[in-house]
Order: sequence, then C-alpha cells, then structure tokens
Amino acid sequence: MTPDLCLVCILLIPLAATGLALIHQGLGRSRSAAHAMLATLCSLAIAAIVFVLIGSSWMGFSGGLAHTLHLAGKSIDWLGAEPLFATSLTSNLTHGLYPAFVLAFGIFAAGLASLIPISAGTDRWRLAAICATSALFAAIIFPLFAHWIWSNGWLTQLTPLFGLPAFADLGGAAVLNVLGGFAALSVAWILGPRQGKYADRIATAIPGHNIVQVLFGCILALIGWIGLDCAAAILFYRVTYTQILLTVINAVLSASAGCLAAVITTQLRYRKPDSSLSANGWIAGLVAGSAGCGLLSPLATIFIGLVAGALVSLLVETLELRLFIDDPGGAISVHLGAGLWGILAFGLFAPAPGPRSALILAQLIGIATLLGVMFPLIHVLHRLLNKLIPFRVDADGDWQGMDIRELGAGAYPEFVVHADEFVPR
Amino acid sequence: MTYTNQAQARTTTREPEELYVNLIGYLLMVSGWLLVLASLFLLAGLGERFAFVVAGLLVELLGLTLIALRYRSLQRGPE
Repeated sequence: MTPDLCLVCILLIPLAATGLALIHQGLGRSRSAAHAMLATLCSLAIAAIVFVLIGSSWMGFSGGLAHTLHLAGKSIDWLGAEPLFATSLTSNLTHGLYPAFVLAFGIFAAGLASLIPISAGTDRWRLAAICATSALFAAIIFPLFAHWIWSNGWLTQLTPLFGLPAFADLGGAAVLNVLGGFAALSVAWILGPRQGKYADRIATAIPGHNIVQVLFGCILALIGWIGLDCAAAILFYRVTYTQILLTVINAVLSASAGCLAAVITTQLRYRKPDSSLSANGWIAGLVAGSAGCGLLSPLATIFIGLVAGALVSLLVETLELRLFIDDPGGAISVHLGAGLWGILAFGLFAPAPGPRSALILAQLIGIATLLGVMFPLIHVLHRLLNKLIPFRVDADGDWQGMDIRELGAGAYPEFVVHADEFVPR
Repeated sequence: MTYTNQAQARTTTREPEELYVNLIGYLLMVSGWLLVLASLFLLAGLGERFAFVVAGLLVELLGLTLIALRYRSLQRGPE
C-alpha cells in the first residue's frame, strides 16, 4: 500500500458527495433547494458519526476480527467483530495504519452512499426521516455488505469455499452505488410521486431548477470518483502504481463515454440533447466503470461507459412513464441500473484467471446477493422506519416547498417564481 | 388523520392486501438467493451452478416485479 497516495485519494472523496449534492438539488425544484443541501450535510454528518460508532465494527477489515458461520463443513465469514466505537484504533496497533485507513475511507464511502436516496426523495422527503435513514444505512446496511466484499467476507472467499473466482468490486459499484440505488428505489416507492406528477394518470415533466449547478456537479463528481476508485482499489485490492494510473484514465473515459452516449441517445430520441439526462449519463459512466476501474482495458471501459449512458437514458424514461416512479434526480437509473451493468461487465471484460464463465458466475452471485438479501433488508427496514418517522411531508408542504415548510426560509428569497409551470407530456 | 397524498391514502386503505403481495415478493427474492446459495453448496459443475444461479436470479426478478407492479398500481391511481 502507498499510504500518502491513499490518503490523498481518500481526501478527494468528499468532492463526489459535493457533486452528487449539486446534481440532486439542481434537478429538484427551487422551493426545496436549501432543504436538499442541508439534507446532504446532515446525511454525511450522521453517516460519519454512526459509521465510526457502530458501522466500522461490523465492516471490520481484512485480517481483523469477524463472526463466522459454520455450514456444511465450511466457515462463512459474514460480519465484522471489531470493538464498537472504533476503540481498537488506539488500543490495538498490531495491524499498523491499515484499520485507520479503512475507517477513514468508510466514513466517506458510507456518507456518499447514504446520500444517493436523497436524489429520489427530493421535494417531499422530510429531514428527520432522511437523517434516520442515513443512520440506518451507515450502521447496518453499508457495513454488512462492505464486509462481504472488502473485508475478506464470504463473497471474496468464493475461491477457498466453492472453487470460484472472488466477487470483485474495485471502486464500489456494488457496495456504494447499487446499495444506494436500492435505497433510492425503496424511498421512491414509500414516498410516492410528487403532487401533480401524475395528475390525470399522465406523467408531467417537472424540470430541475438549476442545470448549470447540475453540470458543474458532474465535474466535481469526476474528481471525487477518481479518489474513490483509487482509494478502494489501493486499500482492498492492493493494486500496483500502473493500475492506479489506469484507474484515473478509466474513470475519465467511462464518464466521457457515458455522457456522449446520453447526448447521442437523447438527440436521436428527442431531436435535441437533454442536459439533465446527459449529466445522468456522465455519472452512470463513472458508476459502471468503477466496478473494474484498475483492471479493465481503456477500450472495454469506453464500451462499458457507452452502454451505461444509453441505458440510463432509457431507464429514466421507463421508470417515469411505465412504472410511475417519480425519481427527480434519476438516482435509481444512474446508481442501480449502471451499477448492476458495471458489475456484470467486469465479469465479461476483466482478465479471467480461469474460464470466463466462472468469473461471470462469481459476479452473478454478487448480483443475486444484492437482489435477494440486501434489497429486501433495505425495503423492510425503510418500511418499519416509515411507521416510526413518516417519510413524506404533508400535502401543504408538498406544494409550499420543503424550504419554507421545514426550514422556514427559501434558498432564493429574492426570487418570486413559484408558478406551477408544469408541461403535460 | 390527514393523508399526505392520494398514493398514501390508497396505501393505508389497502394495507392487508398490500402487505400480502409484498410479503410474497420478499419471500420470492429471498428464495431466489437461497437457490443460488444451495447451488454453491450442493453442485460442483460450472454449468450446473450457472443454470441454478440464473434460475435463482429469475426467481428474485419475479419477486421484484411483483412488488414493482403492486407499487405501480398504487402510484398510478385508480382507472
């Protein structure tokens, strides 16, 4: 491990959160802009504290303490067993700096993943419920799956356990993005659509209020994503210096390909490029490329980015028009759709040590685990939480805007714009 | 009690039916994963495992579709 480089990469990750925050508040309405940004800050703050106090114990680290389950003569490592409140950092120094690096990375990674659902709940999700959901995510959901993938859990031990290659997720396509995307889907279902979105059963376009901030957020997200991909690859896959440089190159290529694919797709479908979908294509490229960032060839990464960008444009439309899911920021399509594609693409294009089908099988096992264990867990926990702390703002707040309703002041007090200028599709 | 929107009102009034459908959806998703897990423990051949893992994924997708259709009917509103 190269400690200095790893530290620099970890310090870049907050820029990814800044980028995502600008994107989801820009794609929401102006009457909820301050609320969206405050929700992002609160989400990051709560995720950081809860992850250090509880989550880091369950995530653990490779070589650390873990709970194992003995089944059919095999030892399945399923949960970290480090002391709570990160006390081992000061009391047990046998592992050197590594646990501290994993903890620092985990703080930002848990925060980044926990703010993905905010994008799907923009304009109607209450601040208290956002905070509670972030705490749940950083305490239980993220550490559990992160342990399986990044802390020598059972999905990385497929070789000794079952003779298959290990499930691989170098930059967090599964651990951050697919988990965050599932949380976004769950939140969108629980909240229901914004008022006026499906009036008379016809989908109504509710345009974002600041596309400039959205596009600026994409540039910030690129820098943050490079840090995220490199830090995860260094910490959990011990990549070489050449592979770190390849990670940087691949991140830029996948984002570029994703954006261009979205521009072309929307040009072909709507006769003009759509800036918000193109921004989504950019992030989708980053997400899909992160699964195999340091191991894939640039050509394969460009292809992965192109598919992700085109896929997102189609998914956004399908979710909105066919499944009646109101996702203002496109988080489900971007993080869930592109994340799943990235995981599968790793199996298709990464260098395979044995038969190609074995590598694809390992990736499919990871996808099956996300779908069969993590999504039901996330959705059930969210539904229970919704009983305790109702997620949705009341009907007046929906029209009034979250800024006035929950914060008492708007983000742009000098504007007088709130006409409901929605255009039926 | 004031409902926050029509979708939530419908959710509350159809609670038992919704719970039942969602429960089946969750059970299908977990069953699909157990199928995947069983293939790893019980089968040795790559082709056999592949077939079972794909079958498990299809069962999971069936469960997800069931939940998605349920929410779709709630969010779209009555005919």
